[in-house]
Amino acid sequence: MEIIYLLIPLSIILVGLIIAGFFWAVNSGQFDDLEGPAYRILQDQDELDKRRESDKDGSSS
Amino acid sequence: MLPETINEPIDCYHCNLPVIEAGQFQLLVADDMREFCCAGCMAVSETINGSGLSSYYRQRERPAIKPDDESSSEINQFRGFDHASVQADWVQNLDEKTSEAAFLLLGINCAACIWLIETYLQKIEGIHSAQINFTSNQMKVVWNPQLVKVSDIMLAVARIGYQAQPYTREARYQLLDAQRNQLLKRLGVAAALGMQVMVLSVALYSGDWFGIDENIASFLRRVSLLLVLPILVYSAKPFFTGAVMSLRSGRAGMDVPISFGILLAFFTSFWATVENSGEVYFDSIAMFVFFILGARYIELNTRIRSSRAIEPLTSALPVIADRLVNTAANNTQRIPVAELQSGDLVLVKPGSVVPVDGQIVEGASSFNESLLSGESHPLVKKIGESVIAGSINVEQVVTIRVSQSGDKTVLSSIQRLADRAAMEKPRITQIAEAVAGWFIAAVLLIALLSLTSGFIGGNPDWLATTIAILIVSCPCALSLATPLALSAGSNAMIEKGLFVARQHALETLARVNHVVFDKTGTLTNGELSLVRVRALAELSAAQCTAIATALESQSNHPVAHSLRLHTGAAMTPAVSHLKSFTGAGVCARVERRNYYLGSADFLREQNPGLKVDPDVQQDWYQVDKISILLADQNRLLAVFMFSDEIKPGAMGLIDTLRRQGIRTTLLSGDRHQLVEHMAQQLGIDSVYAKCQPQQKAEVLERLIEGDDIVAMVGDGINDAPALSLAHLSVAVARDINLSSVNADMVMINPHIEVLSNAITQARRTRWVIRQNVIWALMYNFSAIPLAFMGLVPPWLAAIGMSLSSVVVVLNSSRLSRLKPDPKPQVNQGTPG
Repeated sequence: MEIIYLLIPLSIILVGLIIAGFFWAVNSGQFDDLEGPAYRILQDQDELDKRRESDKDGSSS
Repeated sequence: MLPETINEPIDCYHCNLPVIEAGQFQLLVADDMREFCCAGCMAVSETINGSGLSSYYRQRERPAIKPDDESSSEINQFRGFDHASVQADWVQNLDEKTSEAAFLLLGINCAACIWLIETYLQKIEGIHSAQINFTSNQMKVVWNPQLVKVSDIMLAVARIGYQAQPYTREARYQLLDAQRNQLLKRLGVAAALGMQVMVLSVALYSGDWFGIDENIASFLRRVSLLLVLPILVYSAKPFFTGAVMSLRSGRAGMDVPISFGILLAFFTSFWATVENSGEVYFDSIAMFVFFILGARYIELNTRIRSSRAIEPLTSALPVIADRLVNTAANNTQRIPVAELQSGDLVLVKPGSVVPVDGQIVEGASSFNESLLSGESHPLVKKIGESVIAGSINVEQVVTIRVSQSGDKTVLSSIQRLADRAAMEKPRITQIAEAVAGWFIAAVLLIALLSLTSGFIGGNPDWLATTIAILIVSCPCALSLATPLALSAGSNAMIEKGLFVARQHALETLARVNHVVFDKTGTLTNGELSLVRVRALAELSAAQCTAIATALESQSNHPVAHSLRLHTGAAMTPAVSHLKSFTGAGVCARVERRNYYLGSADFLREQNPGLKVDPDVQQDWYQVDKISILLADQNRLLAVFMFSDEIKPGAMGLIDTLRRQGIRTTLLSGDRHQLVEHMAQQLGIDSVYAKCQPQQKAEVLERLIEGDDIVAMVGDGINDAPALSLAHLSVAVARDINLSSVNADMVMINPHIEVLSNAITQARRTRWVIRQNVIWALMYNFSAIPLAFMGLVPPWLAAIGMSLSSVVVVLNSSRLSRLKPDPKPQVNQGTPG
């Protein structure tokens, strides 16, 4: 069981890295809007694509 | 009296930063010569000292923040805040001698700062009061604008080393966002480290059961201690600062027992770890901190969401508008919305957002006002009708004449109301907080009792028992119960287009048992519409209407307005020799024939030989309608009947109210016959007709003297005195400027029947609050005796406490999820 003297410090380092990553995410605004992005993926692109398509249609005909 | 020896590094007396060159900035403070790092710090200290407030330096826990050197040049910047246009958003002029505004304070870091700012400001002549809220960094100042200017206040705050900014929505959002991110980080640390601690304690618990090497057990405990330290120092910090704050102000806040519990558990475990004997409670600490932080995170998010409930509106408003420069050539010019003047013509393209309030002068289209009123069905609007900023033009290009723009639009008024509501603390929450305060005092007493009795009685588990009591009794659920339910309830109402402008409105609405309606504009559309055309000769109804429209083409009368809505400008024939008899009728030539339009008396006067069918004559005198006749030189051509139509939902509303056990009263300035007929039609219980605004107020006065809780629904203009008297005032506001309305609730949804939904919603909110409070009290009253008897180990206490909060949170969130009302019938209101 002596291995835990190595593994537990390792896990603590890992937790430290996780927390550092989490802090980075919070500070860089990853958690500012938790709902918007889920909708955004559905909205803008479709409209844009459609408009582009209709533009293309308009120019070809 | 010299400063300390020059060789030793000296810290600035004000900001504690090192002084680079000693002796350069010196000042006598409280009989001692003090060194300062810069002129700014010295100036601030001089101000503080000069006002006799130097005890700040003894009381403060943290050094002050170094003031900006540019503070002198900021004076000019502050002067900008004296402009009325800048103040419109956040300064309220209560009367000539009192103004009130909220400021956002930067730089305060301890209770001494609050004391300093409040005392310093209150010493200034003309400032009546200054109150600071430590948690929200908000300062409310009441002052006399004739003696003090806004810039003076901001300058005064700057002079003692802090910064005051207008407490605008933007500033508050930034603050709330920063708070949330901070809380999220604390929560993340508690979660990540707590999980590690939990893993280790599983090993320790199973070690208790199956046996464990003493060296390994001791190692695991030490590692747990190491892991809990950041939780204690970083994650649990707000509890400790909160506890210190509330102890200092002499109140027993929720943070006090939490801090006691955590510290007691920690030091017991610490001792056990060092001594290698006894129980450790590191897992309980981690879990407890994580769960309370989690509950606070949810609460903060709810608060953010309710303060942002209508924010998408302003961000949706365009900043650029197309102003029509040349009407004939349709030349437009792109200018900022802020530069639009009332009276300007603006072109609104389909798919874009209406930038201002105004009337349509050309074109017709349908408008989606869902952002504003919750009404998802687009409304058709034609020439002469009003559109509001924030609605979306769905179909056609229209030209709009600007009536209100910028901060005078309906939209901005609503936002101001929202901001005011967010700043108020409802009575019911205040009660809950007071109860929680007493409750905490009692808990501390019980814990003390358990501690001493266990210690004296030699109970081996006395520490565990005391910790369990402190943790299990946390009145989180109790203090969350009301605010959460209230904000969830009012959010749901905003979605329906019913705006809660005063925090007490929800409570009162739930108790209302008598609703008083104003007639015109509330239960009716507030404008005449053509309901029936009866053709009496060979000309068709449509032809008659076209002729009538032509005759009224120059008039501003409601009848003319209604006719124009009915017949487009293109269909109206040309008219000449127009002669108008005010209050009676008009006559004119259309297509080389003379026509007369007006009341029966007017026609008889113009043409005594006119024959009238008795059957037709009956139509003229219908109680709820106004009849107008069209005739040519020898015969009667048509009868037009106009009425102020009852809103489509009114019947359903009165019916639902009756079923909800609510009495109804109709108030109106119109004649008896008409009002009584309408009351009968709708099933309204009592009627007061021919009421002037003052008489309406008298009626209200009589009503509120009884046992009834009276709600008054009106348009807020001619019934303002009556509205202000009612227990609850609901203003039906559509196209009017809301800033003149001082109501507890504002109904933006055109469908009046949402009122009954709102009452249901308010009652449900009240019911959920009761459930929450009963549940919280039940939990606490059953858990504390159990813990006192030593039946609850600390880890179970932590789970129990957090579960009780989670129940309250989930129960409250039911309010925002439930949408019981079926979509009201949409009636476009087109007459005919």
